[in-house]
Amino acid sequence: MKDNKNTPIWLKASAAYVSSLMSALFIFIALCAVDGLMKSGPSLFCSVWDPERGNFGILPMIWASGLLSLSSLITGWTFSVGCCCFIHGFGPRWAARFLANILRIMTAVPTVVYGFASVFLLVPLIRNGLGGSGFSWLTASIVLSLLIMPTMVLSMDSAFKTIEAQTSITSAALGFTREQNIAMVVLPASKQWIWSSALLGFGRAAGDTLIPTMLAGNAVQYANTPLDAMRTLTAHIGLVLSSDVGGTAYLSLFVAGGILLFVSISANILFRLMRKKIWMQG
Amino acid sequence: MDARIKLLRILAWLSAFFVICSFLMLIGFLIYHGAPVINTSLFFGNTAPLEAITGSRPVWDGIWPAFIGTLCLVGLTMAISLLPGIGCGIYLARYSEGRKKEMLSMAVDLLASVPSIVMGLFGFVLILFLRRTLAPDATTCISLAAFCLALLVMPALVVTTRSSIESLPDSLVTTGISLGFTEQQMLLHILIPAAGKGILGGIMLAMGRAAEDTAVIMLTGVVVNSGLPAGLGSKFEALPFLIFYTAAQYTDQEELLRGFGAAMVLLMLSAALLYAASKLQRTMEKHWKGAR
Amino acid sequence: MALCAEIKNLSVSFHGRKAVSQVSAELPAEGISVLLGRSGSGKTTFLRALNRLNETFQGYEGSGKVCLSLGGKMKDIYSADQLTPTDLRRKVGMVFQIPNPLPMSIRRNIMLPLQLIPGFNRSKAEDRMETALKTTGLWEEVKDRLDTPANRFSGGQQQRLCLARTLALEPEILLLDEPTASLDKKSSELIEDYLISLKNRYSMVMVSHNIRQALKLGSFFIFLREGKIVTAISKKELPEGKEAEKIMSDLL
Repeated sequence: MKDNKNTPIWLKASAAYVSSLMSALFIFIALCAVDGLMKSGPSLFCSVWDPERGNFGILPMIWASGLLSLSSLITGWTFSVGCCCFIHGFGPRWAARFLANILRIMTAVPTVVYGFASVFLLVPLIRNGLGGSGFSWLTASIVLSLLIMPTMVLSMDSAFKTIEAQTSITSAALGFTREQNIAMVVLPASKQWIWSSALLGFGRAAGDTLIPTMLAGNAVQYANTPLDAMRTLTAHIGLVLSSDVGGTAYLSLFVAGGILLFVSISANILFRLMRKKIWMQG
Repeated sequence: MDARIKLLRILAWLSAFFVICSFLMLIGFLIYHGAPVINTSLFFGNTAPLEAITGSRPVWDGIWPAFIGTLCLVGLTMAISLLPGIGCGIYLARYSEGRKKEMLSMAVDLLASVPSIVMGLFGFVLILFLRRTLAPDATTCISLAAFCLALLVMPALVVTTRSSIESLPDSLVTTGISLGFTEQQMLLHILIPAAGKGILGGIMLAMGRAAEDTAVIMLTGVVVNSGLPAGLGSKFEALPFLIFYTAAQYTDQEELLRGFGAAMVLLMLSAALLYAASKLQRTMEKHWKGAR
Repeated sequence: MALCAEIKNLSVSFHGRKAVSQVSAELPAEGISVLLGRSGSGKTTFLRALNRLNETFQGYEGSGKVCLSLGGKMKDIYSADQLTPTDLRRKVGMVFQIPNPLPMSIRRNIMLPLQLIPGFNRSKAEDRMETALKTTGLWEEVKDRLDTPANRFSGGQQQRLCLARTLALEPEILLLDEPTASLDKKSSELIEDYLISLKNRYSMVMVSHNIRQALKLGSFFIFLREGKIVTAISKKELPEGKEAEKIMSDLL
């Protein structure tokens, strides 16, 4: 069964193809990022983006990416834990089922559709209710947290299910209600799963392009209040490349791409390590 | 103790409320504006449908070219990614062991975590590289977009194929071997058909991802007014980009409504694909749980 | 005495754990040879050594020599130049403990392995299917439902289907791994009857945990314990009736 002599050739070829694509992508982006760093070096790490005068600072974008993904992660993750509790006994049965279905459907909604609906619904709401242009850190953060929730909830949910199945009888025999069992037994026991889901969500939040481009306003600045506009690294790449600035501006994009690749891959590796540790313990 | 439960209870209700309300509001808003405009003129504008479909006359004020562009793009992406994706999944499930298996599955996992804009950037760099070396007039086009999207959807294909094959009972393989099937015959006649529904589900999932992604195509050749894709090396239109573009650049009410219509069409397309995928996967699971 | 199998110094281990060690035996071509032993005694591994099925499991290591009488000659089945494992497994058919129909119709279950033999034509395969189903008494029961998925039938019918599927390949030797262990009494007896009716046409090797069944079907018995052969006796050496049963259960 595992005899390599008998492995059909097309399978070997596919495996080789996929791994070489992966390495090609990694090497290309890494090389370009290093190249960009060498050539424009410290000038990248300043706060001014003005390609015509030769200023290619991407610090504000790095700041914005970090801020936006972390803020979306915190709200999204907290609400995900809440949703999981709701599904497992805190909410009425029909509502729990309804919520679970909605979360499943949400995975099917294209990001661009979220963005589009928000531009015409949420942006005016925020503009009229809170002031500013409506295209802001807050707007993007709300939608982004909604976007990353299904992934996190589904991953926490599987842990909840397993652990609840293991503990529910014991807890019931001890006179716990289902809520108490979740709060006192299941939640602490699935702590590591819940934390590792956050890494999953973070990867998605940091890598998303559409939501920040459509909703965050794209001004190159350090956002101070939730109503300020911001431009993330992902949006930066998209905007600059599709408007064809050309020449040296590309170098800063490669660095931006390299940073994104590094961050998302680190988050994923960390996630893998955590899950592996959980397996070993379990 | 009680405080903790109370706190969790509040959080749970708040979260459920947040998710349900935001989702229903966003989708309801979209349907409210989008559903009424879905008709033939949304697709074809003022061009006669028949002439538009045969391509004898271009469509200027409808989403037809973008719709066809998306279909072509998805088709091309699947054509490039199916064989290696499924092949790699089978390889992972049955023919690799130990370190090799771990490395390969890690590579697939990492590929899945690469943000789509970085995939697009990769395509862009590839073109720059080609221009400097082999083909001085290479440019972004539908083939490049499909190549990059293939990279994006490959992990979904690999992972679902792998898990469908791995979920098959061992006895199936043993039976095949005892009947004198060669490895190749076993794959083609027993394992792939038995895992077929799961693999098909993975294909649907991958198609959904290819249809909805915007960041990749933004950097690899999508435009707003190219008409139907003319060939493998041409620019193209696509629904998600049309929606993205409309949100920022619409000039009149009519364009805006077209954007809503396009968003509805894309939503229905993705929803149908995901529904089919989950349905297929569920019957697959049931089937093998019922079997010994 | 004509032999169907000659085994010399056979050792098999999985992940370093010995399943069968240094076993040598000669099995007669006539009648059914029965392998007996408690669970874990290595009888299934011994059986699977005869169609090289062991090597398809993880962590396999093996040594020794196994010769089978195929096509009128003794052939060393582990030497590379004699037979491919695939051809070997077609000539040495196997029926498992749990019925294992493939997830397809009855017709496909029997036809598919035949169609995969290079140069085998379809109408010949149809004939073989019918003959095989008749031999196991299934034909009358299923002839109108050949395209029904095989797993809709009862356990006993499925097992007879598996037997028919193996017979359709026209093997020279049949390996049976506790073929009735998962069936009820009535279905078991039915299978036993068919096996008796087949024993003049094929050399058979069977694993059994049931002494009554072994005595009813077998003509040669091998007792295994912890991967080694304890005794081998033929039926002629045993007394008649109850006494034989007692001797056998003492050996077990």
